[in-house]
Amino acid sequence: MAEIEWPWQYSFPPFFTLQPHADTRAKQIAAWKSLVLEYYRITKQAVVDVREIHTNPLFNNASINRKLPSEAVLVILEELGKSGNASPLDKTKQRWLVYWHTLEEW
Amino acid sequence: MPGPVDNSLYNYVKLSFKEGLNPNFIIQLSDTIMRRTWEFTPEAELIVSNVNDNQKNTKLLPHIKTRTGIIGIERSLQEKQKETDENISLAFQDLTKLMDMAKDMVAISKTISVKIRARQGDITEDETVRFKAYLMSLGIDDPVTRDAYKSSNEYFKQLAKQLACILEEPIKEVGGMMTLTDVYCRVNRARGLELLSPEDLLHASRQLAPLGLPIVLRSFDSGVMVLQICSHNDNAVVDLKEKKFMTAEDLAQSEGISMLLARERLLVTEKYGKACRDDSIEALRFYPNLFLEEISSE
Repeated sequence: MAEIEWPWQYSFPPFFTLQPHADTRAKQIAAWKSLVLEYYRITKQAVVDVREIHTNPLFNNASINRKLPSEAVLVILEELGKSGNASPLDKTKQRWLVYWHTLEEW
Repeated sequence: MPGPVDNSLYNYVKLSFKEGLNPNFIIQLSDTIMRRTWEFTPEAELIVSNVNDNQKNTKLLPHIKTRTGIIGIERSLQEKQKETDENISLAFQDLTKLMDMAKDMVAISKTISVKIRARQGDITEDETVRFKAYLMSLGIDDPVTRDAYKSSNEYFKQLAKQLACILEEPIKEVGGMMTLTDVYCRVNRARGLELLSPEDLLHASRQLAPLGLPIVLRSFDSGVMVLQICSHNDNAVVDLKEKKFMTAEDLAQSEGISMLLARERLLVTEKYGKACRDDSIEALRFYPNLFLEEISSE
């Protein structure tokens, strides 16, 4: 597995709590989106299973003891879906396909 | 000798009749003399007075008994109970009368409010002021129909002025902000008598801002209401930058304010985009909002 250069947000605990303030939240989600894409591109993975996210170091930072809650993960995946970087594999939205590049870019 | 007398020197009675004599009278008289009724009557009276004496005695006896023994104590307790019972029933009789009176007052005041509505005046007329004062003294709160005619009662205005006067210093001492419940405690503890009701305090506090007084009422999103100094603004951000992160308890301790206020201040800071939260099992922590700051500094 390739080494990932974590952004500063990754070790910033508030990053793992969905922010109620609108502007802050927008910035937070944007940071998450780029981090998710980066992570999947480097680790060469494509499938996200919401039920298994907490085994994934991306959403679970053991060094600061913070996990991103499942609801927040879903929010981020929905956002990725809107920009064409992800799509759900099943109707319950438990499994997602992450595109390193959008389909148009390919 | 006219009129009846108790004692007489004479041992005879003389009867004279001015307008003829009823023949029945002599028969009745001789009959009475024969039966010696006058000797009998005092005897009967004696018996009656004896009975009275007996009753007095029986009344006296328990009176003596009350001083001694359990029975005495019980008896005096019973008497007291009876007395209070009577007092209570008397009080309730009075109360119902009083309530009847109040009912009339309520009915009248309602008709007056209908009349005021018909007039449609939004200026603070003297009449409506007086009417509001009457309503206050009756304890009928009717703000729904009253608010359009008169912003609030004179009493509240005066009270608001008084509040501003007595609270300015204490509020400054606690950092420029005090919850309404704290204010309530303080004011009423200082007063001792003629206490404020929570409604009175709230209404008076609402008048603070329109009167241009140095303290104002402010309610947070959570519904917590505080009185704060006009010049006060939320300075929790500064505290955040000094430390890495902060919980409501930390801020409460370092600032010497209540938990409730510390929490509200942090939430306000977050609302202005100056802080962001870290919600975990450990605590709800507030960090400086690096999301917005990093990007703006880039």
